[in-house]
Amino acid sequence: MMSLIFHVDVNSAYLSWNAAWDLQHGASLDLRTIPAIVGGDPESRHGIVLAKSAPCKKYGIQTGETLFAALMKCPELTIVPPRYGVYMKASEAMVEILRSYSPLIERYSIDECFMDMSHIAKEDALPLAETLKRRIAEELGFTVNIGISTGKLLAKMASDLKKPNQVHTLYKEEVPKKMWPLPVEDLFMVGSRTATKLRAMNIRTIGELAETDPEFLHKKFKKYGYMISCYARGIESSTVKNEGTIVMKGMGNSTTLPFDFSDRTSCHNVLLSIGETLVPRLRASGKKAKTVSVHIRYSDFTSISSQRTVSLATTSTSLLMSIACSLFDEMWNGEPVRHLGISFAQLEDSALEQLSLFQNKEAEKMQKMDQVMDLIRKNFGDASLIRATFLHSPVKAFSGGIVEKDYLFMSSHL
Amino acid sequence: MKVLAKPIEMIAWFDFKGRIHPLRFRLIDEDGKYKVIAIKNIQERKKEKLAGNQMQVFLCRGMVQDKEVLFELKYEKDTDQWMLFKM
Repeated sequence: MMSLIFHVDVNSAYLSWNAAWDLQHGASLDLRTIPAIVGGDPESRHGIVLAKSAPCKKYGIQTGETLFAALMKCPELTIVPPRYGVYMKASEAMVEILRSYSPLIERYSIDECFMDMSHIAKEDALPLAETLKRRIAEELGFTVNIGISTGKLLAKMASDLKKPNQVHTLYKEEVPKKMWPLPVEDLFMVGSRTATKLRAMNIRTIGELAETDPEFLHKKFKKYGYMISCYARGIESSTVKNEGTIVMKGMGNSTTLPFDFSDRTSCHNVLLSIGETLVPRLRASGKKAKTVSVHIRYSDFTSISSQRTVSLATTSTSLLMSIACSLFDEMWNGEPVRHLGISFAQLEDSALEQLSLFQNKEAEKMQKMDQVMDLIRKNFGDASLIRATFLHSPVKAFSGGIVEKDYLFMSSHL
Repeated sequence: MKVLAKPIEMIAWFDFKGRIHPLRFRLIDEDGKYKVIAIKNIQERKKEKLAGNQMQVFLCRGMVQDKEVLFELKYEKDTDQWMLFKM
């Protein structure tokens, strides 16, 4: 029984899903047929292009650039706001269809899934993928690309080959013909910075990377160099993991401020408001954290981060927030701040208790208070209980991330 | 039929099997007044799941200004809202 993996990738997910929802609700125009983008709130400062329709390509609009830049390239551009609730439902509906074809589905992100199809014969793979693609289009109203191979990396590279609405195979023997001619930045895990360095070494295509001596790459890029050398040759062995089998190792949240902050109190308030969304999430997932890390991005886009590990993992909002604020105080150079983030690492199960000789009597009181606060917010809404410091502050009581609680963002690991 | 996508207020009954039977509905017309349309019969029932959003579609006949008209109603499961989709 040979390994066979499908990678299903929704074409322009956010935009396609907005388009399908609009049509279902009576829109006369299909967003996919005009220059249109899904963009963040154009009123606040940080609207960026989250997704674009196919007609946007000829204007040179890039996903990730600001709405301002996109409008400069195409003044008649249609901008629609993101509908995260719709995206979650669309993603769920797609996975439900996939589940009828395989018991092993890994949701890689909100719009990408790996399917372990090792139970079918290789010659049935292509026709089955075509059927699956057609079914998703007919039942759910949006198109996907499907990549087929014997491993996750090649399946993912395959689905990216030519879009939209296509099925591609990329077996090991097809790698030289289909993958090696591609530019090196198209390889999974190779970004623009690495690509620049590689081009300086005269490595411009994935094929040239594959032909480069792995030892040389290891010398230049350490373990990462060895990894991309393997990837270029299609060597990779990670398995498709079902939901609930991946252990969460970290959690974080961050926010870009509506305008640059230059005073300590406001920055502390932002950290607190990030904490108000982040720490309850930590508790809700049954974990406690040992390491706190704070990240500052200044108005000139330079950034700095710093972390501290405590001896006893904790779930206490006040303790974690005091560490976050003290980390900020240590590294802040006084310059205006544009973006702040907090993340937790070294997570442990909160059910397991490490007893200490130096017991903090306050800890039990804090834990009870946190539990009560979580319960009140759960029953009466987040806004029912806010910290007094936010009363007359420009900072919102809760910051960071998006409104939908269980939203699936992408990881960078296979 | 033309796409209207107009929100409506609906009276419907649900049978033992959970099937929905729309009876009559009203909408607000161009003059800002309520207009009631009674449903004579349901010709076809369909289910839609576009972008994962579940809707029940009813192709019905009813009387509008003494004429028998064919129209399409949609019931959105997650919001419990009805709309006159096409008439």
